[in-house]
Amino acid sequence: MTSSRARWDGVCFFIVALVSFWIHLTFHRWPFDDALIHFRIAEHLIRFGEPYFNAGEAVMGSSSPAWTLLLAALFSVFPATTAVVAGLEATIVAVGCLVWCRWIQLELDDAAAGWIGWGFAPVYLSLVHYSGVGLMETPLALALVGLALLQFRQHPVTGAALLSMASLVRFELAVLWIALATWTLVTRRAHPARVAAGSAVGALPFVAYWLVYFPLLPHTIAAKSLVYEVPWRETLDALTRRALPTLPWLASVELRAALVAVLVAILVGGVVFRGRRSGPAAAGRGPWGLILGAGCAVGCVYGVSGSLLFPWYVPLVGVPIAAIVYLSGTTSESRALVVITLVALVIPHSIALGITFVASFGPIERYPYLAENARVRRYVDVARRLDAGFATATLMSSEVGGLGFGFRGRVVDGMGLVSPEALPYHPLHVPDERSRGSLGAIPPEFVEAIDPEIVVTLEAFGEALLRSPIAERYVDYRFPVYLPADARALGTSELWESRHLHVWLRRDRIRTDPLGATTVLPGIP
Amino acid sequence: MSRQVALLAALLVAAGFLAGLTREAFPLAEAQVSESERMLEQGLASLLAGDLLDGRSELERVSYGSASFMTALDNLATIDALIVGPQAALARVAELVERHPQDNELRLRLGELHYGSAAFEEAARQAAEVARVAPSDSRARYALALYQLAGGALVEAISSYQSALQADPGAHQARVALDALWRHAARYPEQSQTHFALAFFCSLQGQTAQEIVELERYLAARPSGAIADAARARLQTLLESDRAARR
Repeated sequence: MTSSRARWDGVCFFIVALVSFWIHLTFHRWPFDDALIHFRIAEHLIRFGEPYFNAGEAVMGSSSPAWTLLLAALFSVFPATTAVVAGLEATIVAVGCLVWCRWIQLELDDAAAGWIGWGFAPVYLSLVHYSGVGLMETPLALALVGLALLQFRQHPVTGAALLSMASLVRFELAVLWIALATWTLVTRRAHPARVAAGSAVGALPFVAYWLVYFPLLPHTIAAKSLVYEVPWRETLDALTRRALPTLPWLASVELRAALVAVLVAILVGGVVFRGRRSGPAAAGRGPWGLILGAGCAVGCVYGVSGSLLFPWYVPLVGVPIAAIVYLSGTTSESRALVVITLVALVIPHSIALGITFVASFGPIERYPYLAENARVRRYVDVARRLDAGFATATLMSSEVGGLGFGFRGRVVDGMGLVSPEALPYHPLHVPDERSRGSLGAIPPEFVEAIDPEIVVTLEAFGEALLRSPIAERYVDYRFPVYLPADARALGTSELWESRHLHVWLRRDRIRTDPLGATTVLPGIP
Repeated sequence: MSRQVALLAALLVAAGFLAGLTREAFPLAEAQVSESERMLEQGLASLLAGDLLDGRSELERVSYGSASFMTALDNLATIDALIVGPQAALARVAELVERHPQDNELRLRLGELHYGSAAFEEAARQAAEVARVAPSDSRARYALALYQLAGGALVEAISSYQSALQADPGAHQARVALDALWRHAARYPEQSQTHFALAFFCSLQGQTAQEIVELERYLAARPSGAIADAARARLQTLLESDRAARR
């Protein structure tokens, strides 16, 4: 590598890191609710020596053992705050971007490779930063995949180790691991025993941790597949909405379909106009088709399994596909195809990233996940207040991240994600118990069975509960869905057709005299 | 190689410090919070701390007309009901309606409270008044339909539902109305006419299986009259087409 290219690589990386830190340090206050489930489990691992959401209840509430362990390591040194994890996420996103861009440079290996490689940076950042800012594990998984791709060129055994590790951060990546390990064996780049040993070394610490504490199947996977009933068309719609640049003018299905058609055309064009792909350097290149196929396969699995597609799933599909589309377009000998790649892929993603960047200077409502994630701040606020007065009570909700982060007592998950005892009461019937299959609602019969002192729910997740006779057992306080500052910034007080967050306190535990003095009875100190 | 990694790590740390220091120096300004919003938050905090009297006095300081007012009022109704009884909540809202007779939102709340204490006619009167002065307000029409249904006036209720759907064909209010119907069915299981209204909504949404269930529930009470005959005929048609589809 020339010193001038190394200098430019340094400058580009510095800019990427700066952008990454800036947006993470701005938006970490609005994490995804599920991110805080990992926080609580990691904290419990440090405090009680067991990675359980509720102390003493051996349930695998996180489907990412490697991420939980990393957070636990972080929290053993730093306080468990969103700002601390945001710093880690910003680093991981910047490094992930670096390794993916570097991989693209190496795949090209010519004079223009430096610039072309860094041209992928806005695409990568645009796809990954929502998961990073939301404090999820996806950026770590993708950074490990990027490192693995780099290693597969010359050290396939190390590559296999990194991919097996990535698969224990996000299980979906096992598809890529199997595909690349098979390719390594078929092309005889490494001895099968060495690939197997490398994979085992990468996976072993996390598998050991998993098997020591949990059953084989992570409970979260069983719970999600039972509770959510999402038609494949909805999953596909969500996938195209989120894997394409998150732009207001791409809301229409027709425009998204047109953009997908253009991206497919770039792939086809890349095959037709081979250009630099057919040169002597092509021999050392990675299996683009397999990487593309693995991304598509993960997307198909989401669709076929009827998964509710959370935003942090999307980069696992979007990044591999976007990387191969980008490589196909930019390596073609047709200049028109290069321009189309820039217009259809790089520029829209740059604008989407730019929107978040602009939002970080003040108009935060432009950040696409603000409305959704602002509810989590309310959850944490309510949970901390409840923790002050009801620390040993049992709290039930169907969204347990923010609530579990702020409330130290037992938190029962009405959706069943961290409470398997809820699953016999699921799935709730559509439309009389919940308005759509994508709502992880609280079953009234489960509330009756557990009889928690506190129930917290948005109206959307408590349709059947709020109208059930059990409601009579509780005093119902209604909170605005958002904290006042968030509501002002967003210009709305509603989310998912919910106007309030209902906080129920069980009546038999509260005695009120005619002057309004409240006595909290034994059981709730 | 190791020199390159060290350089990149140094750049990463520098970027982190630079971004952190700049963010610290120019923090994101949070939107200003109004006095009413502050009072609502304080009141709710007092309620969770178990201090109902403080909570009530703070919620009472939320200004009428502010965006927080209705939420404060809902919670005040809860506290009134807890300390004194449901009639206290009703009296508070009735007094507000007297002071602000043009406020449709308050009148709808009063209707809800009457409905909650099973005074269906009075509830319908309040909703009808809002529907009269604001004909485009579909919430009032849906509420009127529910109260009429609760009072046993099934024909009028279905007519009100139809006019509500005409006024606002959007899915949201219809969903809220349907939710209210489910709640009503759970609360008053003896009122079989609720199931006819539910079947009516299921038919609109193309949920045939649920429509059959609701029609069967309605007809299980052996109702008579034109609506009951229409329900029987409809059920027959649905069952036949269901059988044909299975074949």
